[in-house]
Amino acid sequence: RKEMKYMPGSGYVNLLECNPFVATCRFKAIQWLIHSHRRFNFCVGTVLNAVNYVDRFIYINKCHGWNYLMMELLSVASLSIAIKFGETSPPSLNEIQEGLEYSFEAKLIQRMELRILESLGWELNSITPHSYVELIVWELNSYFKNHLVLDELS
Amino acid sequence: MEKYKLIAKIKKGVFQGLCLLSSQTVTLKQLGFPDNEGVPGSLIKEITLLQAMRHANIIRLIDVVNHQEQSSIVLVYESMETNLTSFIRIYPKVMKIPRTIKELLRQILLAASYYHSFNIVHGGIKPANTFIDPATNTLKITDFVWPRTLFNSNTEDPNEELGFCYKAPEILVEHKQFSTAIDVWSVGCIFAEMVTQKPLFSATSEFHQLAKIFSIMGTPSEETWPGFSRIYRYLHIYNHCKPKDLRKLVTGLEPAGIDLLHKLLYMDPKGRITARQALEHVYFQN
Repeated sequence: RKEMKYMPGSGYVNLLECNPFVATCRFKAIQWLIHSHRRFNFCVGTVLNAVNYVDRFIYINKCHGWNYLMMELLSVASLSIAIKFGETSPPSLNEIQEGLEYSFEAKLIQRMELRILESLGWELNSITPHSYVELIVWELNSYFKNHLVLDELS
Repeated sequence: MEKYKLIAKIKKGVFQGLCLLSSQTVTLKQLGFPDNEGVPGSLIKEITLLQAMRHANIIRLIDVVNHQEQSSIVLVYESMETNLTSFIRIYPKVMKIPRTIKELLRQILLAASYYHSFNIVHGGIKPANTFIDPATNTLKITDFVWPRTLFNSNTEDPNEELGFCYKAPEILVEHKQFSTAIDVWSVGCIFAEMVTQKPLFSATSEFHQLAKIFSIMGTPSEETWPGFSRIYRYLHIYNHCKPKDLRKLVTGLEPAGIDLLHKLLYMDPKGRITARQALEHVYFQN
């Protein structure tokens, strides 16, 4: 149930299908986010959070009549929020903006960040399928570690 | 911000307001921050955490909205009227009942141990931040003045109630000594104040606060607080004081209460009781 709270509501896929422009931008945004993930070696969770914020924001605000510049601003601000939320040593806003068509001023990004945060009600600790995978991997890891220790002892 | 109407100013940056949707009274706190790197990461982390906090003894953060002015947001809290200072003043007889004191102290400790379970130090527990509903004696603490969230440091009002009376000795000595134990000390001060209806360590300034604490709890020595002389170079300028008998200073408190007070106000933070342990103390057994 908690997972549902952090998902864009039903009809989101429909919304994207009806609005191919937004869908293309979303696709580009995700490509760019994955690219940044490789470049800075962010946690997978950070990138998934950023995608989650983009999706929820588009779902809530519908983004009718938005242009490409606005969509790019949305992805930069979402990534910036996800980084600040999840990473310990965040790169500067200038550094993360590589690989984009436009370059934004810090002031503008901040305004967008605030808009996203307000839209999402500051609920940033998204529960995505990845959260479960991470938990399972962690559990398995500690399970195997214990067994290895036991094997060595015996 | 359209959802809320301002009614009155409480102090700089803090307002009484009305939610136009639910006609509920709320407390609004405006926070400003720099804009060179977007919204500060510490703010993002803290507000997300604050929003996740749900406890019967903590004033809830209802909403976070953007302010018309750039680079600032408004935190919307549920509103309560009577804080502990005014509660003591208005209902001195109620506060004389040992059961009331016990019940209120239990609630403060519950709130503190909840904060501490998230590894959060409140850092500003004092009567002005502690609110009581006189009808039910429900106590809630608030973090309107959460020190680390204060990006605009000038919101600290000089006329505000003397917060330093509740500061732990280690924080008066060195600001880096920030741990959950400083909250426990503040709770101890409030406990004594609920019994005697006046602050236990009431100095005239932050500078004199340490001397006041030493004069009652005794000047720390290598036995009572190992390593203290190393963290505090100016120890030698203080007179050597022997600890006073708390039973004589905090009159009317049962022996179990005195014992708990001693543990809450233990000078060395390493030896101080934790909020969780305090809740299991004999004082609360009956």
